[in-house]
Amino acid sequence: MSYQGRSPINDVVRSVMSAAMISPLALAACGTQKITTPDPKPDDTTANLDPTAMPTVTATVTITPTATATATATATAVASGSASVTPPDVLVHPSVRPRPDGNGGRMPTRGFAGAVRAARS
Amino acid sequence: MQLEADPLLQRSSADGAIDLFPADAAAWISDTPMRTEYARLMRGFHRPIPWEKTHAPQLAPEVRAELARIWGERIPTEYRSITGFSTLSFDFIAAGAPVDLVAVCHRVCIDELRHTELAVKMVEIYGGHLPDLPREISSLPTDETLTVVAQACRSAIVLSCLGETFACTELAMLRNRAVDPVVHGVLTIFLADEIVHARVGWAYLAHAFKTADAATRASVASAIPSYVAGIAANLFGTDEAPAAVDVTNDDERLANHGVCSMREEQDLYRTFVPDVFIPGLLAVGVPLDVAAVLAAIPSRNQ
Repeated sequence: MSYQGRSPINDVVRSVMSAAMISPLALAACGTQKITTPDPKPDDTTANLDPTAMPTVTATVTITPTATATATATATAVASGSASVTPPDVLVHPSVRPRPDGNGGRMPTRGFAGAVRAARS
Repeated sequence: MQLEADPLLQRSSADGAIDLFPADAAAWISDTPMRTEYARLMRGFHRPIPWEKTHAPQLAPEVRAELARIWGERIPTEYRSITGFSTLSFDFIAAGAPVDLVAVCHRVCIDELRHTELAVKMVEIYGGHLPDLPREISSLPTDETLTVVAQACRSAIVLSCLGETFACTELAMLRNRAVDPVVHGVLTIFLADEIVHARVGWAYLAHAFKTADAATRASVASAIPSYVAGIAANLFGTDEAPAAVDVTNDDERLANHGVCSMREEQDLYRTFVPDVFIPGLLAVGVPLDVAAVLAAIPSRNQ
């Protein structure tokens, strides 16, 4: 089978790349191949998937405040003062990331389907 | 404790104000009061799905079984993604990333749990069996000689700019031709969330590269061909391992239900990298070796 529908590329360009403050034209100017101009017509993809829009169902579930005590949460001071002395961008990467999995590190891929593949490859 | 025992939720539900998320009945939830908080988190960005309109009962048994298997494959995938974005949040904090980006990174983790729950629901709809949740941690590629900003940029690129942005293109394709209202609804939630997951990486990269020095830019750029090759190895296969087909199927009957063929997925990747990924990096200012990145994508004949 071969997908014949609307190009998902333009939808992604329109919905995602603006986060990097990249316009479709700027993207096209950097393209390695011809990039079509995004469809100016609004469609249900972008209309419904505005990432800044909150779904309406959330309003009804905010009625219960959490009443748990928080006094102890900030009781432990951060011991290191180095970050305020040394600019963050010259620090080497800390060794506090999750431990390696013993196989040299899996290549994480896309969240929708790829990770399971990486785990088996 | 049953969720329905929560008097506040019971009252709201009686008002008809809550669209109950499938998490309320899903597996793996603790028998503690925290399940109420969990349900709230799951509903946070949930969009209603017309579960009763599923086409599953009308499908041939073998199609239903294959859809159950594929959604079952997606359960550990979504769950494992939590650890990837958790690691990215470590990198963001270490690099002094703006707090809005750190916050969104943590929202992604909640999204991935909700996706796990939705995949569970889909497996149940198609009559499949639930797999065990994975305990593995997705370890992002790391290099302790890098600066924290360079490491955060690399992590953002591999996880978000490449992985999640490609996921958006694939989900858009799957959603565009899904005819089952439930599949369409579930994929809409996935896509809406994945757009955010992709955007946070691009946003951080643009932010960091506003002040990044040449050495940082070069060290970030040097890793990118291997990232493109990493996904390509899964999609196209290598000499050592065939292409993984866990969530693809060439049966055209599945195309209406959120599944694509391996060839479609490969073609999409071949288009995505030169048309979206590379131009995006160049526009942000990554000094990319374009030829090396393009060379990491196998040709059709391989």
